[in-house]
Amino acid sequence: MVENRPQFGRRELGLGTKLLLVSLRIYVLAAVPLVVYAFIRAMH
Amino acid sequence: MTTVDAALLSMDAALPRQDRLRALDQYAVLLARASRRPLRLLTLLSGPGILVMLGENDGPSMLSYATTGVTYGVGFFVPFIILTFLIAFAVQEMTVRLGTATRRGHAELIFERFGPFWGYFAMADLVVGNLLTLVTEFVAIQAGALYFGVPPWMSIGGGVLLVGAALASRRYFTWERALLALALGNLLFIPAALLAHPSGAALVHALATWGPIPGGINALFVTMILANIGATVTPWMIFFQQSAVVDKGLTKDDLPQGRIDTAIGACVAAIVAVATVVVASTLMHAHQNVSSLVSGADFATALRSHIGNAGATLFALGIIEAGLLAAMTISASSAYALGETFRRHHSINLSFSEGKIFYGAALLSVTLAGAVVLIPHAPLLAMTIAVNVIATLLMAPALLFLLLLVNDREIMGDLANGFKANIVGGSIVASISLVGAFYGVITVFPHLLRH
Repeated sequence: MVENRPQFGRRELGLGTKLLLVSLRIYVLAAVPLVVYAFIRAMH
Repeated sequence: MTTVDAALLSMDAALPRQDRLRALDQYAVLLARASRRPLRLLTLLSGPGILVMLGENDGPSMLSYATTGVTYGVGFFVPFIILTFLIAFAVQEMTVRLGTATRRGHAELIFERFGPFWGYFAMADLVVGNLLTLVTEFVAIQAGALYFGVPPWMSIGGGVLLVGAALASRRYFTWERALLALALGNLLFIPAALLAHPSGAALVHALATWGPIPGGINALFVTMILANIGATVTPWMIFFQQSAVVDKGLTKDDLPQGRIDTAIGACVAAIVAVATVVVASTLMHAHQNVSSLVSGADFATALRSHIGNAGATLFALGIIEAGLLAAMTISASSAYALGETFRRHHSINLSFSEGKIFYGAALLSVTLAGAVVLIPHAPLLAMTIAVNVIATLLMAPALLFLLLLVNDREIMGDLANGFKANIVGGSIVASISLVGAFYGVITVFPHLLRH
């Protein structure tokens, strides 16, 4: 709640978590155009 | 001068207003705990859990439950809906733990622990999804009010004004209590269901046997399953409850009451959801064509000849309440997430001068959403579909980050997930992510399930 308090800082990521986040980025890259496509398709 | 004002003056003037107000609330909690008044303690600490669960019983969710009732009756879906609320409880309990252990909102934690890419992504995903969801809430408010002949400009304008009026208290506790009072309106679906004279034996049979799957597994059945999951677990709930827990000032000592609050919310919301299925199932018995039921007003009108004018009126009022409460909680979740990500003040205890961005974001989002609904020929159906796709597709990242954060012992300490919690949480994350992604795909490519 106090905006000038110290931050936790970045988490040290293990290999498994890094792989998970890379997969998530790929998932998001696929999901965003899907949302846009769904919207445009529904408009028609 | 009120007691609160006097107490505020007696505190260190150097403390920001939001911290002084939160300290007052925490002092009341300390007194209740010291005087061993468990009910008073629970009353003071309850709020975020009930609001998040009843907030998710929003306009589109209630229409999903009603459509389920008209299509399938109570047989399969009553136990299924109860299961989805158990899942919702398991997810939201993790957010309460995360909030009390770290005293930070969800967006803030993602930004701090995983860096700007995921921080901005989570915030943008939430804010865009919330804005579109708010449009669907105002559609529900407008439809419910139309049943009473209230013109759209009046119902939408009134809705926006009420969201602003609740925030105008500039006091989290007052805002929360006002919303809890409004949330009582969600219970209107229960007397409406009683007016439908439900068969107790059919309900007990549904709970005892759970099945069989009506008509086998087909596209409609899968869509109903996915819509009911989407009606109980969504990303905004995670962000809202964690931010509200932090804004309310809950600490680790308050965790048991936070859990009870969430459990009460889940139970009440599940009862209301089941009541909605029950009341709508009368239309199934009357062989009502479900495709003719699009809005809350359509359902209320169709129900009138089966459960009477009083029952239909309760249903329409319930739809208005569902949309209004969700508009209040969802707009607050957007404002919290923006403040947390950009490190601006974010609290409903802020004065207007301190919280220009916070209150501005909440009010701007509801005003924009309301204005969109009033635009003639606005693509409301397209927006509703986009809302479903965004909420379900992006549930996976939200749940994954939740699970990663509750396993982060550096910030969670002894409140981190244990083995059993990870098995339960992991199964939920995996199943909801798969189901969510599947829902997103079949929404875009509906022909995949036609055969």
